[in-house]
Amino acid sequence: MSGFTALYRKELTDHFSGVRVFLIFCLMFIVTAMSLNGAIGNLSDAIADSKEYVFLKLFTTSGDSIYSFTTFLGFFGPIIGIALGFDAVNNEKSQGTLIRIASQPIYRDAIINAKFLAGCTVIFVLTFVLGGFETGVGIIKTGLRPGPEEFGRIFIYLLFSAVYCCVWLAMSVFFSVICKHAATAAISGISIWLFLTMFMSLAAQGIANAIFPLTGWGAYYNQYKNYSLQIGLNRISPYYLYSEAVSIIMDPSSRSVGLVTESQYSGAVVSYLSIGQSVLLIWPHLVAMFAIAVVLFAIAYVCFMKQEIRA
Amino acid sequence: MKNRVKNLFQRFVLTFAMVAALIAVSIPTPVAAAGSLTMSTSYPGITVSAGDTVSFDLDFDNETGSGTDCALSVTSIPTGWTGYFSGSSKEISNVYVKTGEQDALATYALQVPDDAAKGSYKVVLKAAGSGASSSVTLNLTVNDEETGLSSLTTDYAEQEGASGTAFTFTTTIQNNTADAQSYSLTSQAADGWTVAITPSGESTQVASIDVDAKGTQALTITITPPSGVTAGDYTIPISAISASDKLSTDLKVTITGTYGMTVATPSGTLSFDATANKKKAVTLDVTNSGNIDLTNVNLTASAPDDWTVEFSESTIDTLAAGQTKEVTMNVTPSENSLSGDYEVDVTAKNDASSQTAAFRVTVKTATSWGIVGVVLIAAVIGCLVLVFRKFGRH
Repeated sequence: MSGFTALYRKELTDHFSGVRVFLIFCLMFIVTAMSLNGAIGNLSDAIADSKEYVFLKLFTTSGDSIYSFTTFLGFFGPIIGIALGFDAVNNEKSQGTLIRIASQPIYRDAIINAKFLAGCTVIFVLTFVLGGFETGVGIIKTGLRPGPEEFGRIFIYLLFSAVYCCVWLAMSVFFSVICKHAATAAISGISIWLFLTMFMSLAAQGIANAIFPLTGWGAYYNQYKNYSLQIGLNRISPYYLYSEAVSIIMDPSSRSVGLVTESQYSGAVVSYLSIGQSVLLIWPHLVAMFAIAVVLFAIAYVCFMKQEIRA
Repeated sequence: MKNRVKNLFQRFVLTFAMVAALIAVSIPTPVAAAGSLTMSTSYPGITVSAGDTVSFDLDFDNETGSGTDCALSVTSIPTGWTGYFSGSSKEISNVYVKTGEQDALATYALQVPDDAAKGSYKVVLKAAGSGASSSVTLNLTVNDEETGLSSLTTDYAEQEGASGTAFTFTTTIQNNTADAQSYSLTSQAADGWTVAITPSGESTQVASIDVDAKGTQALTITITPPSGVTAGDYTIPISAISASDKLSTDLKVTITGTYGMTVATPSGTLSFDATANKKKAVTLDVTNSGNIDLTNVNLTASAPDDWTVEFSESTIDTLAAGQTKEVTMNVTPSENSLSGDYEVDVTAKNDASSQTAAFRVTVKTATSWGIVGVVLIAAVIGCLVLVFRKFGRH
């Protein structure tokens, strides 16, 4: 690990002393405070149906004119990831500092490893600080006491959110490796984020309807297949995976991801899942999210190692 | 001659006058005249029982011409007998009798002793006024009513109810003897029956009780049959025994037949965990809680779609009253069942009775897929390590 530790420290110093991370923190704190305020305002309506796991509702309840904390994190998480990584490599290149670092007696892969892991560290710190802030202010403002199970769920949720952001960090690091200009890398990352977040569901619906039409003679029989395909396509998007997993882990009363048939609901009794059962339900999501992050970073790593570094 | 006639006339007149005077003297106003006072009662001769209290209204007739103050006394009374005079609700010793007749001016209350033997008795009462007095003799015949015929009687001595009912009887001890008696109370009930005897209106159970001479004592007898009692008629003899009396009465209880069944687990919990598509064995206790044998009890289950529920014994031929039969239920949740709780209703039913137990089944996801996920993550990290090896360390 020759040189990795030094580079990692330097990257972290850069992040935490830079304006960019400061602005991201400020933005996220404002968003968190606003969404928490909105959630507290609507909490009494949100708990009208069930009076259990009220504390988790602070994270998932949206205000009158503002989204919930989980929705915001789903939206802004990718932005944080992209913002932390889009100029990781190409900026060093264009400023000519990369060759200087590469000429040091260090392993070359230490550069990209340090950049990625420093970004990950910032993401983890940010996510858990925001989660802790939301929990703490929530306790003070509402007087609710989260139980051990709620703490566990919030912890898993924050962990999963951080991994989700890291996926986008890995992707933007990849673009910073292959794009010469930082702007191109940023635009590429943002456009992919926009597509997967906003338009993937439309595209999935279009494709599913084309393969299994819901009009004409076969409409009735195609319904199930159509919907299954739609969900399958949607799950390509990390945003969709993340939303599904969050809806399970933050709501103990939801018992299934995706399609539920009538026969599965026969004889079902309204009940809460234990945290272990909820985690088992979204285990594929957790594994997939982690795998996507690792694979994206691996691609970026390979690309970086194959590039020639010249002045 | 003239003188003779005159003399004759004079003698005649004289004689007439003398006769008239004599008549006038010899036919005075009623002879009783000078100061008669009479005390009487309407029915001076009556028949009584030993222990009775009888009262006589005393009427007065004062012909003395003036009111008089009479002292009342008893001149003769058998030994052991007691009595007193009363008037206007008070005990009195004197009575003022105005002239004329006065009915029921005073009353004489007479207590016949409990041990008065059969026979005739006399009581003489006397009213003594100033210068006049009167007596009245009361003739009392004590009849041969026997003492000592005490009794033990019960209102509604035959009662009917389902098993589990506590029967309450009200029984009265009548002590007709002349002495207070201490009765010891016993009951002969079959095993499992409880008999509680308490004095009416009290909560203390008693084994013996004192009853005053000629007194009564009400008892509340509560009979509780054993829980598993079979239908039928039962007789519970109750006896009250004292030094001189041996009283007994039979209480009859008819237990009507009831059908009843319970379905539960030995531990009583009605919930269990199961895994999708995996057989789970649950032990059921089917109990005949009624008091009539049940035959052909069928066990059925109403489970969610695509679940299978099997019983080790789906028909129980005979289930005797009070008996419990252990049956194993194998529940296999559907392959597609969701995590969380489902309801499975198990019904034990025969022609006469039916009982349903609602089970809450918590379906858990098998952890095998979790292991697959871990393996997948390990593979991805392994690939990353390979990439590091191949490209890194230039």
